[in-house]
Amino acid sequence: MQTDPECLTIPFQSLEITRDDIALGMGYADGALPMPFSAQMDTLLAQAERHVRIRAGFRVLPPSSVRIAAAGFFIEDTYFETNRIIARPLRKAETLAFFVATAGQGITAWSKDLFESDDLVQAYLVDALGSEIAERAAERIQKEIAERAETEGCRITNRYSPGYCNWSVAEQHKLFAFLPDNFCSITLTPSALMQPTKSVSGVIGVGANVQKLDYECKICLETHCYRHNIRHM
Amino acid sequence: MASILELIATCTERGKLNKDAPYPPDMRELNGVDELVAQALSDGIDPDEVLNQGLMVGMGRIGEQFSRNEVFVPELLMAARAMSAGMKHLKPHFDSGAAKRKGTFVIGTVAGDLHDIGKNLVRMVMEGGGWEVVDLGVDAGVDKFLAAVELNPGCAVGLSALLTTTMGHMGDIVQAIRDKAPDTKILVGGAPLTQEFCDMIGADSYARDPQLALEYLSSSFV
Ligand code: B1M
Repeated sequence: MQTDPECLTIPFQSLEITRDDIALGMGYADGALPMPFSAQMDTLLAQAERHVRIRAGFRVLPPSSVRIAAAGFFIEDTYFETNRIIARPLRKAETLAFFVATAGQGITAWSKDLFESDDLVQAYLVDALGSEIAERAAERIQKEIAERAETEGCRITNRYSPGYCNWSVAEQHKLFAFLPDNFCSITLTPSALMQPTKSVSGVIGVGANVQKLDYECKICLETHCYRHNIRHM
Repeated sequence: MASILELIATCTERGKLNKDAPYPPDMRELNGVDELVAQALSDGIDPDEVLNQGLMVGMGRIGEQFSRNEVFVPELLMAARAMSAGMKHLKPHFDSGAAKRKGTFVIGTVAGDLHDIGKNLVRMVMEGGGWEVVDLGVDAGVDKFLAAVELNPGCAVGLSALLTTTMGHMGDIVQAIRDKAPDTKILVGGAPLTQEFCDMIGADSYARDPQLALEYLSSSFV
């Protein structure tokens, strides 16, 4: 399986994000936002469509260019040092897919506007919504890759991102080098920060014998992160 | 009946801004920080007492609950807003010298990093703790920090970062500040940071959350 880079536009409504999803991301363990934040979130969700430009894309690399090693992988001559935690589930992959997903710049601008008009809580709620959108868009592209893989008798691993599980976030530069410039309107600063802010990047293994193991939060070593606690409950 | 200072503390903790504010739902129609601080000052209560025994007590309580994951960012922000409403009444007293701030705290998100929510939360909690805050914004490099340290002798400095790539800049900033003003207390924070990293770059303390930052500074500047 191999594809040219492809970028999809995802309608906001199709992500079916609920206020409880966002509440979980904010740390409310029971997924319930108290009043009045829940009502504010509903209003913001109703307005979100016009502030977002959700795009997600991927490139399945030519299998001949991919070699999985014990603590990382090669694409052509470039070595990605993921460490063993991520390399292990990729071990049986025949090829790899690089992906990116973004909620677009508008959502961050919306949050900033609210902040500047002293609406701190709404600014934060919009920020949290943006994070959820980026994650859900990544989930969507993962599903898309899975469906394409299935037509060729392949399965996929979970998705893994630079910056998690001790895979250096700086390795995003290597990853972006295998994608077209400005792919899905995402760029990378010298410090490996994606712009728009609400963006995610990563890798997925593809092959007949790979397995979809735990989501990356479950294998992450970051015990102080509230997401870690939520995903481990 | 609760004293007015206790009422101010409760309203700050619960984020009750003023009488018209609908938040929190169980305190509708009641006076908020805005009215109570104005009343306390017109009753002749010392502005320092209003700050130390009212607003700061309330912010301290909500900060601790946040540290314990009992409340989350929205509740902390509501408290910070209420506190600012009280601070507005205290401002003329600070300007005239009748009330004293704890000190000046310079904070910024370091070069290459554009994240500001965490840094803003720390700023608000520090203001609530009685500190004058100079906010350098995001993407702040060595020069910006040095200029602020020069302008605010005796200040404490806080550096925030959200990615391992950008936290690398913290070491350079710490070193430059140490060269210029060796006694400056420097605090670091942000999701990927650890105490070990803090020790490695020679900062004074790592704070996992805003309340710990405030507690550290308050204990260092007594
Ligand atoms: C001076 O004294 C002080 C004292 C305390 C201080 C302080 C200063 N500054 C902050 N604090 C402290 O007080 C505040 C209040 O408690 C806190 O401030 P924060 O800013 O941390 O907290 C905010 C109020 C709320 N927190 C947040 O908004 C961040 C939460 C977590 C879960 C998170 C989220 C939501 C997201 N992310 Co990502 N994300 C994570 C975060 C893990 C975590 N638990 O923190 C972190 C920051 N992310 C990480 C990564 C790797 C990434 N993320 C990415 C993407 C995303 C989303 C888009 C899905 C989303 C939004 C990101 C955003 N920046 O807006 C990518 C980068 C995005 C980009 N633009 O470049 C990507 C690079 C992954 C990828 N390759 O796609 C990790 C960074 C570690 C590293 N290696 O650099 C990370 C720590 C997760 C992890 N467990 O590893 C404290 O840190």
